[in-house]
Amino acid sequence: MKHDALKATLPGKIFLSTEDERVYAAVRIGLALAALWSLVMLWPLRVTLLAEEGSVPQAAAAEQSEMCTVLLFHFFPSGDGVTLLMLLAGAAMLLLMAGVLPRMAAFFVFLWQLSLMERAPLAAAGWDMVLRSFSFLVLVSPLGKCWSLLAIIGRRSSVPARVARYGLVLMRLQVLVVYWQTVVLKLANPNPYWWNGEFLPYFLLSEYSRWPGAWVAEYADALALGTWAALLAEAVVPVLLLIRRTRFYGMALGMILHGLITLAAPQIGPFMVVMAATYAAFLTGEDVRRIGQCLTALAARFSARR
Amino acid sequence: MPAAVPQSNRDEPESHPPARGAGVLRDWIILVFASIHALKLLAGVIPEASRPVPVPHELAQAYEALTGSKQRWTMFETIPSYHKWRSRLVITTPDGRTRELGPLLPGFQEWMEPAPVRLYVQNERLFSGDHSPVMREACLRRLDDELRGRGLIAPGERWHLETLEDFTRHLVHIGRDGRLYERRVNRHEPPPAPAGERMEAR
Repeated sequence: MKHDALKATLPGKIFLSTEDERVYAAVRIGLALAALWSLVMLWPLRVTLLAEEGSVPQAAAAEQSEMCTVLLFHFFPSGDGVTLLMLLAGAAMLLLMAGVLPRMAAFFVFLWQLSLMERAPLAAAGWDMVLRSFSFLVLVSPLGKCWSLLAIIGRRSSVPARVARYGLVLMRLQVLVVYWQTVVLKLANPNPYWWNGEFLPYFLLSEYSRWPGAWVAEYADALALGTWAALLAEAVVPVLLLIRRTRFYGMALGMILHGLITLAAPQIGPFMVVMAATYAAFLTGEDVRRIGQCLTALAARFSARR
Repeated sequence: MPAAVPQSNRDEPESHPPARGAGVLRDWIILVFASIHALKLLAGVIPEASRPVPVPHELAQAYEALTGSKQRWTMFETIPSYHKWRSRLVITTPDGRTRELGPLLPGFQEWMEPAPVRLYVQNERLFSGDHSPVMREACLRRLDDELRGRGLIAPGERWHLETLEDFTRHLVHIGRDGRLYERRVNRHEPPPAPAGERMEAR
């Protein structure tokens, strides 16, 4: 098949059409920041959850692992080794954020996320799985040279390239699956918490809640509306995000949803940070051009003050 | 009349040199990979347990493992059950007195307050669910080794791990008397000694 004919096929139109490479740069920076946030949150628990002298020995984790190995942790089993490994992972995240050796950094970040899930699968939070999936998609996506440290230091005014958008399409699908599968699971759950609206009251009485107390039972009926609204929002957010004209409404609704969850349960705040990073995949070339202009104006104002 | 300016988010094929050889091959690879991954993702909307036809193929499982693309978004699974969940180590002396230790290694640390999510979910999954009997046993064995290795257990003393599971009561009952939870205490005994190890040595 000729190249033009390949691009004219339906998969070709979906995956090989081009997009401004700065959208990928926005995702790369967002993912690196979110992964770094998660790493910082994990730091105090690193020995307890990940080291040989912690709660679960490495051999048991490897036995349970789908890959029969704990990957990077195999080479860094001790507490000091885990500390070193986490510092290396943090450095890779900083490099990825700065766009320095981005492919190598993306590979290490992906390997770190994969290793983390294999070493401590029972301690994995929802945002770990999002980071794992997204770090793979960033790894296989065009990374470009825009919005990188070298571009800033060198003050190169390179024209952003237009690159194939398959990575962005897959990232958007991944976000859709995160929301829709959780909706399906909640509705299919044998416990009727979601159907009868009791989930939110129980959530506010749980370990995670900022204000657990008997007051919740008094407002159970009103809180049922909140349960259904959350479910509806999870179903609708991906649709709004996927439609170009409504994507900002989708981002706003998603952030309100995750923001309210974080307000009520600060312990699971990293999920909001990670999901915010994934929303960058729904930006367009025009959006990133405006963001770039804002950042340039801010930088100019900052340097003028100095 | 000026020519229409192409929108920045549209395809601009004229800006690219025609692809040859490696470019065509690269695009083929992208198309095949992206199509497979997209189909895999879309199938993930239906949770594994609800699929009419499971996909047990080893190749598919290996692909998921290697690409970290297993889709299991069971957030909030255990939240409705527990108001709080904690554990502690209880050492019983031969005359029946007890003393407690923090259950977290290294160093038999106490639970942090508030409990970090990862710590909470790991321990809850280890000891209250049926997620991983292998890891549960390994964890109990680690505790046993550490207690004995540090001399924290004298001869004749026994230990067990207690999980304090505070189940949230029904909203109607909470509304009646304001009490938030019912506590259940579960006991986990140390695993039996590995074959070949003499009991006296333990």
